[in-house]
Amino acid sequence: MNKYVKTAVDGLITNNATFKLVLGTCATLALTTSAINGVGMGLSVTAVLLLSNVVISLLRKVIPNTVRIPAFIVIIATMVTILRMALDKFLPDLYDSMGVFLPLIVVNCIILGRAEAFASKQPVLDSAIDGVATGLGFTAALTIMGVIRELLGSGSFFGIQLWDFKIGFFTSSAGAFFVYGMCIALFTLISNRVEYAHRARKARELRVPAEGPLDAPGISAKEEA
Amino acid sequence: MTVKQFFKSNAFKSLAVLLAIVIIAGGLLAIFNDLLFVSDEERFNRTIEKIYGGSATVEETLTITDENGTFDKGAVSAAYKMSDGNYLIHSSGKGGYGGDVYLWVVVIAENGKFGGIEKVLLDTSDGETLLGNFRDSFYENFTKHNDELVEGKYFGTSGSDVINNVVTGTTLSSNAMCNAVNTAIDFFKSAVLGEEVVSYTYLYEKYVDMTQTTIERDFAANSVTLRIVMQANGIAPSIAFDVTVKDGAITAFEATKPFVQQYDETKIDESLRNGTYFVGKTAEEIAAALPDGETLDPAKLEGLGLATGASRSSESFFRAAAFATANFEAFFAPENLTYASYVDFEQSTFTWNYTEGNEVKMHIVMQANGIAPSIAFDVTVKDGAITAFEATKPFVQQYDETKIDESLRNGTYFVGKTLEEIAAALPDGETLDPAKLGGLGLATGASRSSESFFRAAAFALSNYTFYLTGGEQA
Amino acid sequence: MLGTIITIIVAALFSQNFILVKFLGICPFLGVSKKTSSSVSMGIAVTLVMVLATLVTYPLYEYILVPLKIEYLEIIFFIFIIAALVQMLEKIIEKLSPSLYQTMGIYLPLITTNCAILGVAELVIGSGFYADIGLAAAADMNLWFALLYALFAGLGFTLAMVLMGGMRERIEKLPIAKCMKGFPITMVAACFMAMAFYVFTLI
Repeated sequence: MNKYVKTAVDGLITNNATFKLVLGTCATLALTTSAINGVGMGLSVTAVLLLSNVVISLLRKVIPNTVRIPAFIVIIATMVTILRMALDKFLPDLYDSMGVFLPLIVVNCIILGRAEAFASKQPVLDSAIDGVATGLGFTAALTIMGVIRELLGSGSFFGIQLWDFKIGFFTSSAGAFFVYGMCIALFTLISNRVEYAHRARKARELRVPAEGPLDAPGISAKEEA
Repeated sequence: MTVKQFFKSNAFKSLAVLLAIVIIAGGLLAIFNDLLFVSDEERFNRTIEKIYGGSATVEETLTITDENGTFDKGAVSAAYKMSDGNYLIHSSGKGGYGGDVYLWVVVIAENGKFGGIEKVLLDTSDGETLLGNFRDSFYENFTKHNDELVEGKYFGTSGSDVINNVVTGTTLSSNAMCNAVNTAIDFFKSAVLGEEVVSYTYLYEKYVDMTQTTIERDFAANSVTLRIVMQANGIAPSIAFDVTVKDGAITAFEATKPFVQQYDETKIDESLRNGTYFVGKTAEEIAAALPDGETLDPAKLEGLGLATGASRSSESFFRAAAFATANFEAFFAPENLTYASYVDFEQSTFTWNYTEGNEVKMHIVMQANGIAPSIAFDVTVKDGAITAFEATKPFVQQYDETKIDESLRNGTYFVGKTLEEIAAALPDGETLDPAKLGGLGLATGASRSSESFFRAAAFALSNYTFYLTGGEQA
Repeated sequence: MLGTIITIIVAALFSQNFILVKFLGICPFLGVSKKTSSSVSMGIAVTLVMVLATLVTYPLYEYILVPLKIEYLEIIFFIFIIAALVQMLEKIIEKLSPSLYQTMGIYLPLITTNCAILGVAELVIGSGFYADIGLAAAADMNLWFALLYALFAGLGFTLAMVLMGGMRERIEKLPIAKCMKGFPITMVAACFMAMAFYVFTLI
């Protein structure tokens, strides 16, 4: 597989920040009361992630190892502040609805995590792709949760009122935890199934040409892990 | 380590890089801040855009002072006359969960009159976390009662006679919103139209739900019968009290039991519940127990035990009693009445009921006027005009009611009349000016009786505000 | 005055609980709450940093950033101060109690990126905050209220952490569906806790 595609698929699905790694949870829980908030937060994080990944990747040889965390944080904080100003200027409604969670993008573990684990070691293009993919994976997850909570909690879809039936629970904080938990469970269930099917196919492919015994211990060991 | 070594060391390099990054970041932010700065003017224009979508512009900015912008349950911080003739008012309402609520309210001005509410928009949530529970339909609800608003009604969160606007579980926040909208309405009426706004000036009124409280005055007995509905007090629910005060002391005090689970009435001292504690108490005695008007002073309770878990409810009891006794004089305060010289206060009664929409029912007994006997009138005044006028026939021989014009007798002449019209017909407050009667004939032999009719009408109209507010005569 | 103090305490502990109502500091809530003991130490560390951070950031914002009109640097300043404080605390704990240092392990440096801390620093300078804690006007807000709020927000955080730690110790032993293990079941437990805390907002 092309390494760029792999980076992208990793960030988007395989290592989905929200459902697989469970990072950036505060924003996920707080800003999924409606689909539009989820999209807004997701795209904001994506923008910061892309910019910070690119800048950090560019500076990865300049920044001494000892001060890398403070340096990353300053870079991320700068990006977030600029984003905050831009949103206040051009999208005031979204700015208002994100409230205190906008400055808190700084401490969103996804961004520092990607800076630390990826951008500080990889070239610029890879880092940019990783940033966008991880960000879009986060956005997709937030949008899915936002749609679910908005549909059930306020009976609307992206602000369009569909019906009057609403369950207040889903817009409350308790509902956020519940929907998030269920989404992770569903994601785990599906990805386990997919992985299982994938392994079974691999195992069949291996068996035919080699005509040897299946490398069973390896697979079962992995599955147990 | 020498200076030279330090400059070559890793620590220096790290610091230098970090410092450089911070300086560049700071510079970058300064540039962006200049580029993307949002001025207050732009913020205001956004609000206008949000409300009007470009269909109207600000025509005139009204001056707000402490005097014209402060109301009992809220304040107005900005007001604008818009190009479509309506007014945009920025008002706040007290009594929310934790804080005030700020709203933008568009008030309709119809041919120089109050025409209702066109739009309500939340400005700042100011930490009102429960405001998330309010959907658009809640705000739209403010715009659907314009007919009732024009009649003089206000929004409220409880009670059958106010325009109910409440989201379950958020009574306090709804209350603050209603207060903000009502404040905007009051501001429009007082500052823009120059109308008299009913203000509530009773003592200890802070914790009383005036929209549900009724006050009945009995001038003859010098007693007031009140149904005081207290607002919820912390965990204690809203409690209603039926209180009678005569000659400044409580003669009857009865609490109703609210139907809420949290309320365990057995925890409250029995003498409070059955009212025996309060009977005979005067304003001074109750005020001593409630020094700051809010919390009880246990030392002044004459051995009354305040069970833990019911102190808030007990507070409500005392606040109600304080309200009833401290305002006793204000409920009557007859010295400032106008057109009052011929009214027999010993026999007249006045009933005020806020929930009926600024309506005062009066039973006015006029003193005998020369050869005309004492006549009693039942007059209802609403919003400064007479809505019902009925004369009773005194059982005396001299009184030949057929001599009096029929439109006076059945009250049709007076219905709809305002103070100016009546005052014009009764220039000196005593005798009638035949030229100003609008073609009404005054039969000889009944002019004294007719005078009584007009005097009663003038008294009712000119003292309407007084009876409505119980405060000082405007 | 007393009323305000009580309002602040109740709001910070219950009705505006950082984890369960405001969704701040969820990462350690999910990550470090496997045991009651680690929940307690994490909670105390967070509380300590919260109070110290507020003690520095609130005056910094009010008396330096605002007069100089450089409010836009708030995020950078705040995060730097928090990072420095955490570093300091880490060194102190390492010196004083190596065992505690062991338990906190990787999570101590992560306090820097704990949004609850930056959250407190941002909230107490926010325009709407004074109303949040029951003050009539922004002018009444002062450092003491900010510190009190920070202290009890930290204790509220600790409370939620400890409750969660206790629950998870029991949940671990339950036979549950494979896909629900770990985060999902923890989220459902948190959901019930949030429901219980929601009641405080109705008072």
